[in-house]
Amino acid sequence: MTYSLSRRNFLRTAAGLGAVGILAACDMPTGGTAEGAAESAELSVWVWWPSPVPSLIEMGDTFMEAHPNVTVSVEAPSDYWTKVQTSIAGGAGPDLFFMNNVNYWSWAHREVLYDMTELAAADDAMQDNIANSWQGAVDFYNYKGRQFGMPYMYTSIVLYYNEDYIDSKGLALPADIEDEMDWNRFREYGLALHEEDDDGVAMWGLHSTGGIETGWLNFVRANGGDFLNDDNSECIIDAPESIEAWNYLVNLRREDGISPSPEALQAEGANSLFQSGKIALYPSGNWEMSFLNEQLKDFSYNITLLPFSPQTGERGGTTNIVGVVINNNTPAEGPAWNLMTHLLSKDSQDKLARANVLAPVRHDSAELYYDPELGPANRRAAFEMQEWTSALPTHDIVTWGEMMQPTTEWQTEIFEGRVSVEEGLANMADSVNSLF
Amino acid sequence: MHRSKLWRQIRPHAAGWLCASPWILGFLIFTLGPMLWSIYYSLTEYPLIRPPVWVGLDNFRVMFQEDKFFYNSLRVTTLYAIVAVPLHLVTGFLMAVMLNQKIRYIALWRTIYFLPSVVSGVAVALLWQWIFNSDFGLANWLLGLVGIDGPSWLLSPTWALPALIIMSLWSVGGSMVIFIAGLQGVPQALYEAAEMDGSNAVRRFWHVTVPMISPVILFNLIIGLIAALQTFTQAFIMTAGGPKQSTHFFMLHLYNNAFQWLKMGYASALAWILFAYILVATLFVIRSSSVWVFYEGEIKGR
Repeated sequence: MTYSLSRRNFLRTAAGLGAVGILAACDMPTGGTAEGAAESAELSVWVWWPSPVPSLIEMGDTFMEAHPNVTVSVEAPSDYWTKVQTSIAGGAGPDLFFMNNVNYWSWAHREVLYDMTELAAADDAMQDNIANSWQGAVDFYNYKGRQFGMPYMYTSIVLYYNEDYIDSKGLALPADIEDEMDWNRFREYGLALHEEDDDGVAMWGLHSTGGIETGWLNFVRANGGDFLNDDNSECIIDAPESIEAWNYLVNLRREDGISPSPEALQAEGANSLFQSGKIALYPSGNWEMSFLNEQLKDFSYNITLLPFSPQTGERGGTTNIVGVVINNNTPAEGPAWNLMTHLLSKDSQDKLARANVLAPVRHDSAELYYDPELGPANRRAAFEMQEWTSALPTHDIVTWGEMMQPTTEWQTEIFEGRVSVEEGLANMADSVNSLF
Repeated sequence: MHRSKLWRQIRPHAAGWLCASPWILGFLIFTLGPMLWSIYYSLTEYPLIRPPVWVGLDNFRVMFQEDKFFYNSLRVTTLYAIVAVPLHLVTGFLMAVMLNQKIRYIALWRTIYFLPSVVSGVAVALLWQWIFNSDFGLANWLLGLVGIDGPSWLLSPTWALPALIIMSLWSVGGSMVIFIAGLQGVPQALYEAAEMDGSNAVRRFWHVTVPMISPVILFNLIIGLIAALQTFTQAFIMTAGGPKQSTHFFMLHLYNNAFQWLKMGYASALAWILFAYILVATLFVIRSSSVWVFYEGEIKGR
């Protein structure tokens, strides 16, 4: 038996299948309206690294108990920033997603983030959250008088050290002499701790060539300089205070030879060198503490404040203030706002603190995070660094990636000795300023 | 009447079209459609997270007059292609000639030489990062055996690009297999005739083997050229374009603009310039092939 298909039927079928395909390909709104916050909705939350996911799932569960019509899913997609951009460009994307301070202004400027100014002002629970949060972080997320996101947690840069090794050398532990630890003392420690044998370097004294976040900008700021000027209109990294700080850091590698060579770092990152007991003093972020607490078995470590500049007597620090924002495309503004408020509540921020991911932005929860019981013993140094800390440089027109292209390029040239500090910083400043 | 005639003409091919339709739809929706859209985007300022704004030809003006990275990325990519592609062809060809001999376990040897080309790009990049480590990498260890103090390879603006060119030979297995297929298609009778005429092995190679597989060389040249001009993974993983922009390939520049700097409109313009560049280069190779490619049965000069 044969079946003949008329042309009309063939075209109808083809058109029908095509329509079904197109509909299937479309990302349909998940329900919920802006009018009411109690309606049903399926909220998605994206974050760019997996560590916060378990605690966010816990917070989501608590939220769903109070809002039975809402479901919350949390994920940390790979290639996060590309995925967020492309999904938003496609008119979809997560309802809430995490934002770092180096991208926040440029995203706020481009009006893709939900303006929550009025909602925040009228919401008592959120006002309570804000009142209990680190004011510097709250101010940062206020872009030109409008609130496009809320700070959630933040990083701080501290000095990690190999406690057992320093002890074995008969030196005072850096945490015990933090008031004496200026750059000169830091160098003396590095020289005393550096050790070479027949096979090469057995222990690098310190690490001085970290990037903008964990490395040189902390020293530049301690010396009175900065990357951008106060109104973020000009790169001032070639100022004399910066040059002095950079010369200090470069000489630790090139003249003293106590900071890992480019070849050593090419083979193994600085964090890995510290973890394997091959760097004694290592400036890095508080995000490493949870990993080191769990994984470090061969020696004990501790942290302390970064060394201060002998010129100014000040320390310097950078922070990346991680925030939460609402996608302008969300079809569920009310539930999304409720979830946002919940994520910043005392209960949720306590969960974040106990998860030991980063410091919660709420002071009353941050106390839990800085509890020495979580380790290491001088954990509170990460909190104390806040006094000298300000946000990583950011710009609303020029993206962080664009600004960092010439910055990283000239940073490498300087650290690897292909240009002088003066020439490299002048080029870095010129290149960045040409973007503005 | 006319309609039923048309249907009679279509009907024998309907099943074929239906079977091919997934690919055709995929091509139209996921390749041709985005390509056409990207023409429009190339004429806009499009930060991806905001709707595009029409700027006309301004992206192209910026590219040729203001973009500090554009010419360098074009230079780096061209230099890479000019050196890596011929090197790839010669190596692949010589390996194919070697592996076309009647020796024991030939299938095993062919598999061994082909295997590296199926390893994923990122894994290969990480592997070669270790090989090129100046302190304890394999490359400098081998050079050290003959008394040469090896360079810093990926940390040196002079040696980073040559390092990536050397690394490109890792994937020579693909073209080698095609060359082997070509070599096996050369009629044995031609070799026997040349031998009877007194040709030695070298002359047979140059006057029989090379002309007979010149279409295969052309194919590998075009494929290799297109791939070389789109080099991305190695630079992205191993050098991030450095040191001193010495490995800042065109595709890396395009990626940075599209996904790092929120300039999808400008990146689309870059993509079309790259497309035009590859097209011109390919057409040049194809036009030149009339001089050096020999097709069996073809009579030159007619």
